[in-house]
Order: sequence, then C-alpha cells, then structure tokens
Amino acid sequence: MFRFKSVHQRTTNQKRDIRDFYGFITPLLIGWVVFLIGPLIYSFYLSLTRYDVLNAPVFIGFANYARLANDTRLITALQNTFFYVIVFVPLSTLLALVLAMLLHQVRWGKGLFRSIFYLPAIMPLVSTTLLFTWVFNYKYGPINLVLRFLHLTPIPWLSDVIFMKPSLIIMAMWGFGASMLIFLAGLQAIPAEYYEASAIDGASSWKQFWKITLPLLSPTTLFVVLTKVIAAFQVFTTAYMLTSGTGGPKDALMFVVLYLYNHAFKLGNFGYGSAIAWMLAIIIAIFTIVSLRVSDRYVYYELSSQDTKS
Amino acid sequence: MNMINTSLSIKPNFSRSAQRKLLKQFVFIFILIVISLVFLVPLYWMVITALKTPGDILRYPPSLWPNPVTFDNFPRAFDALPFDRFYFNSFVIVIISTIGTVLSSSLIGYGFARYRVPGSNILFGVLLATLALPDEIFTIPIFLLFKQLGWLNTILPLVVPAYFGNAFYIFLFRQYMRGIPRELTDAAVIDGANSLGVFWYVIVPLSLPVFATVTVFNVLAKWNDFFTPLIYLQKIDQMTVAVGLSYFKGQQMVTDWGALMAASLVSLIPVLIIFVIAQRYLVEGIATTGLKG
Repeated sequence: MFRFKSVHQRTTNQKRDIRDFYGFITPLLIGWVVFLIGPLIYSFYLSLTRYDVLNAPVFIGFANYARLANDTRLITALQNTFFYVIVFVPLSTLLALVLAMLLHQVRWGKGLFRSIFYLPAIMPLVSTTLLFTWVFNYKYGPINLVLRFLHLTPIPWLSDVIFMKPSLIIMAMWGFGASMLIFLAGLQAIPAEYYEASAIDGASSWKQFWKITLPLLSPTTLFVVLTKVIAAFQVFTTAYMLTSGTGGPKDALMFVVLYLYNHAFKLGNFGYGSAIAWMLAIIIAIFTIVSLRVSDRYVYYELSSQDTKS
Repeated sequence: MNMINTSLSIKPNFSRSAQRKLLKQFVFIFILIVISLVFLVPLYWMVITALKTPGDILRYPPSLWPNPVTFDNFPRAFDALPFDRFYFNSFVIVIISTIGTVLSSSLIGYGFARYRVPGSNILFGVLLATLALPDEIFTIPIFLLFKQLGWLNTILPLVVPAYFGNAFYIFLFRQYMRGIPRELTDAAVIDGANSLGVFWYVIVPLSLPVFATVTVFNVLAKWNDFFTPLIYLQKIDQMTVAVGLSYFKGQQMVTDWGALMAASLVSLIPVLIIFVIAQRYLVEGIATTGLKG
C-alpha cells in the first residue's frame, strides 16, 4: 500500500519499524474504516434520502436540508440551544475560574474543597437530574424553602416554561468542577517569580490579575470555553430526563440533539435525522474555527524551552 | 484602640502584611465554606430524603434531618424496578468495554509514541482531528450498521467499538509513553525481546499511572452513559443503571420521593467508591489534558 522512493536505502531496522508501527495501530485503522469513514459517508448519503428503515432509502437530493430551514420546531430547538450555550458557558466558566483562583490561594482545606466541588462533575447526569427535580420541587424543595424563609416568592422552577431553561442551566452549573480543575492546573503552572517580581515593582493584586494571571491563563481559558461550548451544543440527557424525552411543554427544553433523537429514534426519520446531525456538526465546526482564529489575537502562548524543541 | 495603633506602627512592616495575609486567608476560606455548603445542599437533600419515612417527607415545612431514620425506602426502590439486574448489566458492560479500550488504546498509543515512520505523523494528525467530530454524525449510521448485524438489544454495540481504540485515551497513552527513555526499550531489544515483549515487560510497568487514569475515566464514562444504552437496549432486564433509573420518572413512583432518592443514592455508589480511592488519577488526568470541560 505504501510505496517509497528509496526503499533500497532503508535498513532492515526501518522496515521493521514500519511493520511494527502499522501492527500496533491496526485496531485503529480497522476502527476508522468501520466506525468513522464508512459511517461518515453513509450518514451524508442518508441525509440526501428519505429513509424509515422499513423501505429502502429514496434519494431526494437536498430536500432534507431545505426542510431544515422551514422547520419551526427545529428553529425553536436551535434558539434554545444557542440560548443555553450563550448563558451557560460564560457563567460556568466564570464560576470555575473564580473558584480555581480562590482554591489556588488558600493554604488550608484545599483538597477538601476541591473534592466537594469536583464530585458533582462525575455523577451520572440521570442521578443529578432526579436529584434536582426534588431540589427544585415547588413545595418541598430547599431552594423555595430558602426563598420563603427570606419572604420572597417561591419559583415554579420546573413547571413554568419561563423558568425551565434557567433551572436546567443551574443544574448544569452544579457540575462545573472539571473545568475548575483545569483552571487550577493552569494557575499552578504560572511561575511564582512573576508575582514576586511584580509585587516588588509595586503592582496591585488587581493589576497582577490582568497583566499576569489572565494572559498566562488564556490558553487554558480557550480550551475550557471551547470544550464547554461543544458540549453545550450537544446537551441532551438533562433535557430528556426533565421532559421524559418530549422537550415540552411548549418545546421549552427542546434542544437540537433531543430533536434529532426524536426524529431518528422515535419517528424513524433517519434521513432527516442525518441532515440535522450534519447541520449541528457544521455549526460546531464553524464555531470552533472562528474562535480559534479570533483567539489567535488574544491567546498568549508562552514559548518555553519544551515548545521550541518539539 | 490607641495601644493597637502604636503597637502596629512600632512593629516592622512585614508583620502588618502578614496580618493582612492571614485576614485574606480567613476571608477566602469563609467564602469557600459558604459556597461548598451551597453545593452540598442537593446531595444532603438526597441523603436525608432517602432516610425519611414517607410521612416525614411530605410534612410541611420539611425537616432538615430525618426523624426517625428509616431504610425502608431502599427495598421499596428495589421492588419497583430490578436494580440488582441493572447493576449486573452495568458492571458487565463497564468491565468488557474497559478491558477493550485500555488494551487497544495503550497498544495504539505506544505505536504513536515509539515509532516515527512514513505516515505516522499524518495519522496522528488525523487522530487529533477526529476528536473534534461530534458523535451525532456517527450515531445514525452506526445504529443502522448494528441493526443490520442484528445486534440491537444485545450489549455488543456498547462494548465492541471499545476494542478499536478511543482517540482521547490514545492521546493520553501516547503523551505519557513518549516520556519513557529510549535506552530502556533498547536494552530490552538487545536482550532479545520483540516489540510486543518490549511493550508488555518494559512499557506497561512504567506506565501504570496512565493506565489507572484511562481505566477510571472509562469506568465513569460507561457507568454514566445514557445515550448509547437508551438507543440500543429496549428490554428492561437488559437495562443499565443510568437508563433504568430514568424509568422511575415514568412510573407512578414520581410521588415516592423516598424511593427515588434511595435509588439515586444507590446509583452513585460506584462513582463514590472511585471518587474516594482513585481521585488522584482523575484529577491528574483532567489537569493534564482536560476531559469533560
């Protein structure tokens, strides 16, 4: 399969290396053909067909894509998804950053606090959602209990359409611990000498934050924001659980992946479902490329000896 | 007041800043304690509800601790749904898929770490690019493939793909194994070991931390996975804990909060065990590359 110009020059060592390398990665290459390249092509083909599994796929060109633009429920799902991304990502990133900075500076109980904030991040989302249906309970939930105690009006968190998305976001923010750990690792990588030197020069901690912490943390922040946005575009389990898969009432919690799931796996519209999947993939790809381009100007990559070597 | 002022002005400058630092510590720790308590409320509410009697749960205003403490909610949860069966199914899937993903990803990762041959860099670039592809594009075609193979309502779709390597875990293995000095493997080769022998006798013993990290990540990911069992499994006796738990909402159990919280608590036990014994590997894994987000 692979032909090289200077085969005769190669030592047996190099030949053996080639054989060994492709030997080690054989499972990956098989996996790529079966679970990556094949499905990718098939998925695109399906997006150009009408296919309900019972009958053979009918080629309909780009009709599914044209249908996307006129599908009001899909537009609602897109609006909801964008709302979720735009509200959840900054809030959750900010919370993770602030708590990582607090944790980074305290001298006692660091491990304990870290554990408390991190535990919700590894819990099954199904358990988290069930837990929060009780926490958000209008009559017996602790949040409304506190609101009543403060003589405020209790909130119908999960029954009023207006509050359903904020409730979902609060629930998702509870799992912020993983990004906090990433920020913490980023903070620990900033050399302490930078702060010491600038303190001697009389820099305030506010100035240190803007001139040292934030620039040196910018690659970490980019990583956290990017992964969060991609995950937020794919929100599914929590919305499925809260609405038993319906996304309703009034499609308040209808998100793109939930809509895709309903079309493909509930209604059996595999062609249209594939078109929705491609639309989502393209949105995520555009977002990723744009943010990498834009961030080039703002993200500060420190050139360490390690970086220059590789 | 006067005395304090004079004592402060006499003392050298650093003690004043030391006092300020101490005060800052107390303020920070106080803030952290308050936020921790807020974050613990949902878990606390789950535990006390799981231990309350049904009458106690629906008393208004709710009590902040169970009185009396009861464990009756647990058997009621197990009567409503076959949780022992869910547990068994989840364990089988977690074990078979973790063996597969650790085995395949470590071998592939070692291939990328050790060899620089024509094509290796390009293939590694492709591997990283696949990390950026959202799963949703593959869901439908892979579902149809497994359906064609007659694998629906079996655990095969949930475990077989694990044997072909996971891009993220391959990356973790590769990064770690690249740091192992070449002299060690060369010495083994001189002693007559073949490539697989080098991997097994030299690389694996030196890479145990990354094996632990990947194992823990994968166990959690498979235990928590909701989407895959949801689309591939239909029969209740095949269901995993994550999806089985969601059946509670559909049942009349929706008013039996005690059993619901007891069931949620039970679903968390493996996660809590991993959290206690293997938190180090989780934290290290997340800190170095960042899973989830």
